[in-house]
Amino acid sequence: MSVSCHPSISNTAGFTGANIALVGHPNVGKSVIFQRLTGQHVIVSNYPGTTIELARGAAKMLPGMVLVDTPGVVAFPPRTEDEQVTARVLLYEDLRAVLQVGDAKNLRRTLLLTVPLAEMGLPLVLALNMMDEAQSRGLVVNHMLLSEFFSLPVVPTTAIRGHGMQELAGALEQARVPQFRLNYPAEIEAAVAAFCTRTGDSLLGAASITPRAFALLWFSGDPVSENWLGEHLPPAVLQELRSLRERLQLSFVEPLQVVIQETRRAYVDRLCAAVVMHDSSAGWGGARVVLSRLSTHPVWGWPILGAVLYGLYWFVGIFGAGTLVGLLEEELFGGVINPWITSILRELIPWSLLADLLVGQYGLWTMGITYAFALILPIVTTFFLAFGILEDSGYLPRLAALSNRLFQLLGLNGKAVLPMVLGLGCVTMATLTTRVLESRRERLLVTLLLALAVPCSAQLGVVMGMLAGISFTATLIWSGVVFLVLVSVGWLAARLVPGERSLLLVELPPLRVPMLSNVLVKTLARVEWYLKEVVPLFLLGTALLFLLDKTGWLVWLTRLGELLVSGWLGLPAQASAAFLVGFLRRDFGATGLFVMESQGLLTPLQVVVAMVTVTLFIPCIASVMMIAKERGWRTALGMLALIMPLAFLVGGVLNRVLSLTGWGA
Amino acid sequence: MVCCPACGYQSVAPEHSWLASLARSWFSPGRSRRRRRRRHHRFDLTLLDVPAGYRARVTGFLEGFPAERRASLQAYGLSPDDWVTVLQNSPVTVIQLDNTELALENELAERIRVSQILKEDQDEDRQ
Repeated sequence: MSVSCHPSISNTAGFTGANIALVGHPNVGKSVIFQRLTGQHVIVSNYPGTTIELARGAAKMLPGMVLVDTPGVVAFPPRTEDEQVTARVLLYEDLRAVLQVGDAKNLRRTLLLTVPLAEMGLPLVLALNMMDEAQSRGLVVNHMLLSEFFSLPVVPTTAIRGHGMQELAGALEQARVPQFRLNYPAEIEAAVAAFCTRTGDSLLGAASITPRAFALLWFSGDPVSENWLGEHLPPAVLQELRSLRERLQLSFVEPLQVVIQETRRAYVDRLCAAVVMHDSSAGWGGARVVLSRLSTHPVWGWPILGAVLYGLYWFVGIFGAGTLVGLLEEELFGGVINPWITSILRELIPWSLLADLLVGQYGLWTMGITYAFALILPIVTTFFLAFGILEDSGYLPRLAALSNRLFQLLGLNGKAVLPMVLGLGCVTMATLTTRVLESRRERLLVTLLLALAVPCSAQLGVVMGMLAGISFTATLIWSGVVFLVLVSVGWLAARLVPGERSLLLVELPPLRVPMLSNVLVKTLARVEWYLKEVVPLFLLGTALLFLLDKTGWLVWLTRLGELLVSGWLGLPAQASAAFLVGFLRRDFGATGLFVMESQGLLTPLQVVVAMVTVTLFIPCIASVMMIAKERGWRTALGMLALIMPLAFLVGGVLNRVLSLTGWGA
Repeated sequence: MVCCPACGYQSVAPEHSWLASLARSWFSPGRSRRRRRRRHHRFDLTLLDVPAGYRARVTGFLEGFPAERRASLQAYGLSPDDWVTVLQNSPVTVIQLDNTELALENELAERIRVSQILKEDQDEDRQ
């Protein structure tokens, strides 16, 4: 039986799906192009991990088509969980076309990805993005010639300014399967032919990509295609294919993946020599480049980081948690809205229980909504705004390089800084982002550290606001203790969890001035997501407190917690309510303590002890659910069993140490 | 427990003890990458030897270079006979390849063999 490894000449027959997958390296502008073509808000960032959950949107200029934004992929076969998601989209989804977004100034790297995509036999369009940066470096790419070489549309774009979008939409409508074939060494070609013959009709019709592409992925050791073949082929055939791969490997000294990639690279080098008409590195100069270099400098990098952190502290802690919260909570809600609503509802509602539920001490409005909008919203908004600026500026990968040695202590590499910093926004989101880390061990360690010692933005804002109101020393004590716990637990966990640390290799995109519109769009999207998650949980937490209060259980629980909270931590008994609701939302717990402090019920020492304990306390229920989803329930419960006693232990020890010194009494 | 067949003396078998395994792994002489660093490539010129501001021609990867990292570098366009510019050596090695800057740990840099170290503005054809 003769089986062809190539698709039929009809370029679009059989591609009846409505999805168009956006594929490309990280930091090339895929999400910006997605946003331009769909008009939808997505998280846009220039470091991997922020688009883990696939964003889908109806293409404005392509009726009936849906764009699927995939995580960035460096190469096939995929290495991280993130990249495997992209590979699964290509293999499993019914695609109408693939849109590869490439960096025009790094054409060689872009085309190294174009080759395997073109071999897949899917209709393909290449968008050469960031043309403005390429031109500023003196690069001129003959995209027409490139289009001829691959027999696919190549569209120059500058997505951040909206250039080339119409042409891109037009190209997607006309997308066709590239008539492209790269010849590999004879042994590999023979093995590919044997693979196609053996798999036969199993692949044609069932798979979205060509048998030839499948063969090359198989020989490269791709886990996603291995899974697919495992699902569609009998075990005996699979074993034959494994033997074929092993025999093929014997023909080469290098791993097959390397041989295949080297063949592609040699072709791409010849191609680049033909299509890049002028190459100059003259563009690498100016203040921006100097700042980029300094941001990773072993000496100057740290003051720059210090300045960034101080700016974050001032903007979120002082301005957000101080000025804005003061305006909203005291003047707007406390002075105008709440008294008005309380008086109206108490007049209208004859049942005092219902009125108390709405506007009482633990009222859904007076506590739940007020906390969510007057206290948390300004803090979260300022944090996400500052974080969006950091993301779009390209600083975060540089922070990974700078902090790599610190993370070595924790058995990790600098890439772990990415989910850790994101955890300062939301630990739930950051836990999901651990998928960018390459090994299961690293994902486990970072998840533990996130759950233990990384405060989320709302909690961080409340904490910083409270500590800033005492003194800078209070902030130093809090940050020092939390940092010490993080490093100690991380160091110990790294030695107990088996496995080796993976060595850092990360791209450093150029520092850019963020586009304000982009930052605002991202911030609004995040705030919307946050409110949708937070408000129901705040209301639930308030209702729970109301119920506990009315049934008398709150007093009983408070007394139960007294031994621990008052006796060990040295806090007023009513602080135990804050820890109770802190499990629902960490920020809710911190906010409860914030209110106690504003009422003068806590001394500076008690504030610091409370803030340290609540920071180290178990993560909110949403984070626990995410840990269970990503790591399993056993791991999640094990972490809770470790974290809860540790938080109280550290808080109690701190209480005693500070009492001995007489600080803050 | 293990028992000596000659005298019957009994002792705890360390290989069955988790704590003993942990201690062994901490104190084993070959554990630290820093101690293994220059044993087998003392005479090779590597990327770690290239000062900041200099270019070098990559000639290969030494034994022990992780395969997945090699594939990543290939995906970025780095292969034998390519020229790279070293931008800094500490705290990580930062190199420029085409218009891409990559940060790699020094333990990776010391496993990338190079030849022909030149100043950034020096032409390789004159060598």
